[in-house]
Amino acid sequence: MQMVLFNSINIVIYQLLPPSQTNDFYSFLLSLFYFLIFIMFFVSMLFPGLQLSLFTTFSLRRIGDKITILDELDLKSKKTLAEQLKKFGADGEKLSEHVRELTEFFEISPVDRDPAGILNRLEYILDLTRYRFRSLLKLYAPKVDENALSTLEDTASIAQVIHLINRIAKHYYNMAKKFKNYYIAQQVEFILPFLIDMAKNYFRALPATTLEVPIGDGIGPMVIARMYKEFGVNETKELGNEMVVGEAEFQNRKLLLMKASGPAGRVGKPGAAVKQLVKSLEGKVNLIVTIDAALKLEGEETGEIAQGVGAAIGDPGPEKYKIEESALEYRIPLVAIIIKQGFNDAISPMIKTIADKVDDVVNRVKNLVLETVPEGGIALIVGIGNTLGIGNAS
Amino acid sequence: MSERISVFFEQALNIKPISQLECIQCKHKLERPYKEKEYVNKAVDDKCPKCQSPMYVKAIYVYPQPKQF
Repeated sequence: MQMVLFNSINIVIYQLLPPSQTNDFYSFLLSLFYFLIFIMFFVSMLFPGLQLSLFTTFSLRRIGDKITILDELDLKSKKTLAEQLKKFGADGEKLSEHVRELTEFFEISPVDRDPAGILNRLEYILDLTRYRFRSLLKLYAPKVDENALSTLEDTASIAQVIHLINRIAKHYYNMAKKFKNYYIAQQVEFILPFLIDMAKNYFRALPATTLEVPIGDGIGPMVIARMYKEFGVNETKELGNEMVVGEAEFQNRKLLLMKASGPAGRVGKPGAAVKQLVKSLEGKVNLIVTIDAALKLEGEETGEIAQGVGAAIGDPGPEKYKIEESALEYRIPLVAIIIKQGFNDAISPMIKTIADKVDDVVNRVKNLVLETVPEGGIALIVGIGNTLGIGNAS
Repeated sequence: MSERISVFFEQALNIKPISQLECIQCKHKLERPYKEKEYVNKAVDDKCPKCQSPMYVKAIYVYPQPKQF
């Protein structure tokens, strides 16, 4: 160890020798520069707080630049919402106040420390949230009709989510700034690209709601709409809970084709509708099939179709529970068909790759019915998802 | 606002949906730009170029854009 130290000192001294001995003045200057850096490095080691403070400042500056992207997304989504409210007769003077109230709207999840009956309470809160949100929209946009209200609700929900993402990112950014905390700043910096990506994906959904075109999540209702056409279903029956059902005959089997009532942006309450329908048929249903869009894993192809068991529905719980409960009560086989897609594809206008898979899903459903439902039996096929831009039977 | 984010806004807000129409008789399919208030399964005024029968909207979609951001 002493030897190593002695050699290092020798090297440094040699580097500092005057130019007469090295015959190179510029080499001397360069060596002096390296030497100063070397000394500065050791001096800075004596003040660790200084380094951390510099890192925090640089990190916060990078986060600040990225936060402006979220600000822009937030601002533009609010602008779109304001334009939509104005289209349906909103008061121009109070527009910004109304937009602020809608985007700041929140719901409080039911207490889960006592889980007994939590699904009923959750369903009640969700219903109440929707009722209150729609009431506010009707109040602020008095000329809106029932169909346009559902689509306006989607626009407002998107603006609300983008605003929430922006608020959360800013909260942690300001906290890191306030306490000059490097570790909080680092966490924000790590997660910010994901938050920006999520906000961008939600933003891409806005034109779908303003133009009223189907979104990727609408693949389930689109399959049912295609089946209405293929089996010549001319009329559908309202089931309540914003759901409709059409009847068709397929090789001596009865098909009950259910979806949310279109073409407005609705998801309905499929669980409640399935429960009601199965009960009215006294459980004489041989098969329940749920068709829904599902998030693909990285590396999987968009539009890949997969089949499994269970209820394919991405609700917070109450609707899925009701479908499972109905199937269990009458011991009805419950089959799920999913169409895989990325989160961005699911909430933005439907891409051709996904729309082209509708016929494949219809064929899968037909094969499934022939395989599992006996002649004279009944199959209940439910298309889960947002039915924006997808009509019922023509 | 950086150039990349302005390009993103331009792309995201200016989507061009396509309506795929199908003839109810000969099942001939064609694509044309989406018209306002159209929806899947809606009967449209367009006539089939092959047999002049009425057509309906079979699907509405957009072509996937290359992701640059």
